[in-house]
Amino acid sequence: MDLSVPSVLLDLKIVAAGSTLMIAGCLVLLGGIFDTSRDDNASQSRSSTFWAVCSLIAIGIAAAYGFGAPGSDEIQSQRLFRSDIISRSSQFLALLGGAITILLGFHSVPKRFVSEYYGCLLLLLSGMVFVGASNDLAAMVLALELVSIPTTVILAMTRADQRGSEATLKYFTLSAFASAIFLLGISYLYGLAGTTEIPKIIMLLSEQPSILLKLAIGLVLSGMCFRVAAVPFHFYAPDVFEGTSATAASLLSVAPKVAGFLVLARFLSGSLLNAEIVNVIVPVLIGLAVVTMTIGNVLALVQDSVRRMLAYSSIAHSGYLLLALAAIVSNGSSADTLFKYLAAYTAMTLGVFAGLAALFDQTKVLKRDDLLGYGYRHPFVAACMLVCFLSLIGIPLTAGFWAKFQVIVTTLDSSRPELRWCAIIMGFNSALAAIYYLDTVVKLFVKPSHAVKTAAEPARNPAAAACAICAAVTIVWFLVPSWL
Amino acid sequence: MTIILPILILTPLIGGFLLLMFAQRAEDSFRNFGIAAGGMTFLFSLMLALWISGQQPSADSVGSVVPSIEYKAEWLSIAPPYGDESGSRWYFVLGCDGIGNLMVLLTTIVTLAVLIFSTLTVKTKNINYAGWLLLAEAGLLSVFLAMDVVTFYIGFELTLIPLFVLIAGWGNSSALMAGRRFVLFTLAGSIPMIVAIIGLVAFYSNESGATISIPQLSVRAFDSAKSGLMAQQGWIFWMMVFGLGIKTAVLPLHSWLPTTYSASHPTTTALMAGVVLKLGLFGFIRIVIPLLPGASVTFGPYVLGTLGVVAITYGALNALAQTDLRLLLAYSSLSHVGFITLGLFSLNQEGLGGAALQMFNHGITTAAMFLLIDSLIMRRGTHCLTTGSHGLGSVFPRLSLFFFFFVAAGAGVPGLNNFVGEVLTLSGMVLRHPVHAVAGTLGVVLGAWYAFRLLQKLFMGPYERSKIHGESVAYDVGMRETAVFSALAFICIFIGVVPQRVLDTIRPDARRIAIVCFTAMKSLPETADIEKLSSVSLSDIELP
Repeated sequence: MDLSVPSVLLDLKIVAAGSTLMIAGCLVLLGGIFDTSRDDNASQSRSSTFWAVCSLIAIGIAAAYGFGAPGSDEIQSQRLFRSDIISRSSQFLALLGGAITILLGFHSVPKRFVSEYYGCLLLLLSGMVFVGASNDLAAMVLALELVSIPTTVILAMTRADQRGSEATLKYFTLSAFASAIFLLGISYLYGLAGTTEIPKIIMLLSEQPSILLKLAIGLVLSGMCFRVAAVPFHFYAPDVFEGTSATAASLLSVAPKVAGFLVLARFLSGSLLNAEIVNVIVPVLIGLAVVTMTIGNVLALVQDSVRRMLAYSSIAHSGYLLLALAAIVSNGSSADTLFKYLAAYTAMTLGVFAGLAALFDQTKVLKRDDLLGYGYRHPFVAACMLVCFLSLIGIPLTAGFWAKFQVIVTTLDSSRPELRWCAIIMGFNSALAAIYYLDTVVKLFVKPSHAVKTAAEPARNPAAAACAICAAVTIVWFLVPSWL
Repeated sequence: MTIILPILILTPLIGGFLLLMFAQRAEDSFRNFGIAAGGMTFLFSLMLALWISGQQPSADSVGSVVPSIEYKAEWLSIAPPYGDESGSRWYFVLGCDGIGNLMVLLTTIVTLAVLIFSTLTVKTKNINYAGWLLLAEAGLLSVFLAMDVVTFYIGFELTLIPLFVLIAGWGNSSALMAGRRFVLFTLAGSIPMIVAIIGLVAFYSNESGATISIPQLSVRAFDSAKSGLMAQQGWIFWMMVFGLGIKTAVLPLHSWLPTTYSASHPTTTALMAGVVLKLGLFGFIRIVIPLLPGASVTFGPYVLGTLGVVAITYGALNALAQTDLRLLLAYSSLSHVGFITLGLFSLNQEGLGGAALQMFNHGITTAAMFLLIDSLIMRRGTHCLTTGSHGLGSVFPRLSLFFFFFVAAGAGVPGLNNFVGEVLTLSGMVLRHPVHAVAGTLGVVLGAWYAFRLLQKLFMGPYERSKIHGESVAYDVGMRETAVFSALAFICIFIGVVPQRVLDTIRPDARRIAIVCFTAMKSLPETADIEKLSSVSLSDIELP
């Protein structure tokens, strides 16, 4: 690792988008000091608009840098960061998810921490970009922490009551635990390879594995399973989703999952893994995938709270993604499928969260029946939510269809017969998922039996816009899948 | 001429969208817009039918699905996110052969009839009803015109949304649950079906790449049937059968059907029973049998044939026991569909052709029956067979005439449409499986029993006014109703008297599929006595 100034500057240039986001995040955090409006109710909304626009501009600049930068796929083994399909995907996912999250949470930004909230959000997004681009274990660990620490802060900020604190503490403790396990695994990898450079570690994976290497892989996998909420490590998700604010929940459903799969893809995809490692890891991944998707869907089925349902649905989607990963490892192919699924998932899940944020109060524990009749009061938002829900089911004319389609194609591509059965299990799981998605979204269009007394609140426009963007993106991606 | 295929889909699609978007504010001026759009679609389908009947399909193609007319939208293509970008682009390809054409005609006729009828009997939000109905028609047509598996699947799924709205929005108090049940049942089959479709494409992908086009897949299926390379088709076959079987209400998967039929508005049920029920059967004849001949030959006649026999008997016996008119017809549909399944999986030319014709016939007759039930409910006030008024023949002579006519058609009276289809189907069955054929005949007899019992209870005997439900409308069928029923009756008579016109268009298709099945059967070692199993008319086929 070369840590001289010009070399680090060059590294930062490779991840221009991430660096921009990080600098912008620091500036927003610092700028908050000079924001005098936090105790003044009148100017609060103006200041919150200001910081939101600043963040959006930062994301725009990052996008311009990131997508404008020439990508090179050659392995720069001496560098901290690299530019390849994984890092470009991470950039894209972070920027897309970030922009939608800013719109989604606009009206519920904690009044006392406006700039802190946006600063943390930007830092978190930069962390996501860095995770994808990291070419070095140290960079990867730091980037992962850059995702998880701001997430905890946002959790704590957006909801300060007892439930919120409980959720924050739960997430923080378990996240630290997962980080520790991951670090332990990383340290073994370092010990075995004698270097922190990831390309050399991947080369190590193509050789005959020692027992220590298997242990290390298992530890890394466990750590990441927590991030993606795969089954033995999933139990925090429903509680945290329900306890925290809607904005934070939407963030949690995307950011850690993306980060986790980026790490897994970095180690396991596209490389020539040793056959023995493949033979160990593929059955493990298959088992995790099947159990995760089945438990996620079955438990989502019995939930009455919308947010818990979405938490279990996000667990189920992790299951599909793990299946895709298993197929990728087994085929030795690139992680394309994984990221296309993640992109579609980001759009459709954030769309649902945005729709809920547009229609309902953030801190309310939302039951399915609370949705009754909202389709008549806010037909536009409801229609956009319908599109996102149909996409989650995987109905054609939405991106969710191609996402599932592709996972199944990848799975059936494999020479392993057990993966075919997994594809069938995934098919039936998606059918199971259709039940709860459909039941939820139909509620929007059913007139409640008793007249709702409260006057219809106006839909919150930024969140409604986020929902519309997600719905539009979902449909466009069906028509032009290559943009996915 | 090929441009007519997208026009066929676009006319109801645009019509439906216009109705849903703009007609709310000016309901009076849009009153008959739906009928106009449906009528135009019908005229286009008639043009297509006339054109196809004069067409000789090219003889050089060896596949079992050969469209006589094909439209490929070069400007509308999606690169599915798999494989290489160039080779596997998904073009929006539409095509039509004789069997598809029959289904298209069925769809446009039934939708037009339902549209006309709905202006009379759908009391609330009439315009919206017509709009959703047109959207459903567009979805159904896109399935029947699909020439690749992806379009087929997409149409199959997209039809669900308008149908759900039609069922849940205009039915009785339990319609929402019934609609949910229908959609979830269908999704439970069709989402796993995409796994089977991808498996199918992967199974037939060779060195020249993968293809999703049904005609090309059928050529490859024929090659594999010739060389006997048919192992590993089993799981694809069963997944497809599961998905399509739910839609067709093949027996253990049928439980959505009675609730849906009795909970939704009778006009919706007419569309459901007339056309939607045929989606699954059409999937069998378009995808399962031609593209998976090996598995179809191995499992089809025994497993699905037996299930068909069970459905025939079970449906008929249940129909005999019902007192709700709609449930009676629902179970009778179940029985008829069992009969058609049996015909399909006799896998010879007579059986396949008869089943295809019978799909059309059953669609027309059942749709007419449900519309008649709608007329009857409007006048009689109830759908209950026992508590409502009896002996209506003297009060509503025209209605009872139409009832009598369509009951006779459904029971297979010679000279009417169902007779032709049933005779053909039965002759196919006798060749394949005489025991099943006996059960099939039993179904016909039982069908006549419950149908004429219905007739007797409702219309025969002295007029008895119900004490509970009085008549709500005192007049006999009006002009619109008479027009609809007369037109449908004309179709029944036309097919009954000159079946050759229709049979000529579907014979080449049925023959091609039969040849593939015959070839597959020959290359399977376990079916040794081919001579016994193959049909008489196949003996004159020189195998390529």
